[in-house]
Amino acid sequence: MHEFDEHLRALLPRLRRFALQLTREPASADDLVQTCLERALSRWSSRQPDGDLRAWLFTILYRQFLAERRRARRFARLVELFTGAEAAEPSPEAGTMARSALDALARLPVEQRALLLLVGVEGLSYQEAAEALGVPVGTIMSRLSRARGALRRLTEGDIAPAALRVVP
Amino acid sequence: MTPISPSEEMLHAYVDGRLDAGDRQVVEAFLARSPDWARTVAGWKADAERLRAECAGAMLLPPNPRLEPAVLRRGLQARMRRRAALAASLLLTAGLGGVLGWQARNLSLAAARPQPMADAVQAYRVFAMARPHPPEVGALTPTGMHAWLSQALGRATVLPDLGAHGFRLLGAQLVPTDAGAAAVVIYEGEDSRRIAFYIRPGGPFPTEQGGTRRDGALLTQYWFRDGYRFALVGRADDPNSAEIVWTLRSTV
Repeated sequence: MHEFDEHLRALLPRLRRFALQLTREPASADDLVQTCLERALSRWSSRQPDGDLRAWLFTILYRQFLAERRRARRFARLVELFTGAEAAEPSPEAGTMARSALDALARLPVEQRALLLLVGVEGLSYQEAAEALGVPVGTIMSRLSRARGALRRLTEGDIAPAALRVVP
Repeated sequence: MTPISPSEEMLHAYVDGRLDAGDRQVVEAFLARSPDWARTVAGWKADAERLRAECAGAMLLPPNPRLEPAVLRRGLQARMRRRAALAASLLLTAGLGGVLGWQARNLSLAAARPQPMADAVQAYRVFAMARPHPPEVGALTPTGMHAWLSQALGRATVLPDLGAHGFRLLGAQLVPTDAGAAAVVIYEGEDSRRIAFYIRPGGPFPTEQGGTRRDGALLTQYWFRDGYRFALVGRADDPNSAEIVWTLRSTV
């Protein structure tokens, strides 16, 4: 039990960092982490002992984030329905060049953001990332390609080659 | 010539450091002769490194005490206790509601069920206690009374002589009921006490095969036979009533 707490405590900064990049709002990021940890604590006994704890926690956190976003969108639609006001959606890749890598990351769609963080920063394998994001590995690879291309355009305005040429 | 051309997936795996030595050499050889791709892959790598570097700064978030696992664990346990208490109280409420509801049902059923032989008690009060009020049929000869009763009730009815118990026939009265005519036969004792013998059509009450009921100072003893209900109503302190009932039951 307390050994598990130690593991959680060690992973806490990574979870908060990931949540912060997903929500981009410190208070709701910590709310997300809290829900994730509570789920982890209450489900710990039913969890398979093998498998990476870190990947498991990222999976819980990301699914929780998606669920809350769906709820928020339903609520926004409801508000829109009653007030006639359109909910403002931040448009990705819009505007001037990004000042920093995190700034650029923030302009990507959340699926790409999550993938770049899990694979590039947290060091999850493609298979683990696929499980955390709930998509097949093939989708992970194509999404990674799109995400890196988009990030490149935002940081340098550079255009990647459209397709890989066949080398003679 | 390099026989294998790397897939784009391999280039990403190269950026993420997930290739073994052989594949890495293949990719590096490919990049060495493809400047466009070399630039792109270098850009991916640079982006990933900048991202890692900036995220390292995000690791220094101020600690949040509510995310401490021990605190969360206590919170979860408290929540579970509250839920258990709520569930228990709901269960208790439902159980209590069920029990009370069942009792209320029984009470209302009991209230809806007519008290057996209430009409006999009323007949006694009206005709036996109201002394100035003379019975409809006066003290006929026993034969005359039998004929009158048999015709009124549609049933051959012979009344016993209660003289041995100290009661004489005073008179009789017909009363209507929902099932037909009923007869109240009034006897008077030597001390001018009165008892009423009540006969009416109607089957036995579903729950009882006969019995007694008390209404204040009155005692009613009743029984059923052949589609008729019989009752003797009198003072509860009359010592002879059980014997009189026995005589009536064996005669009528």
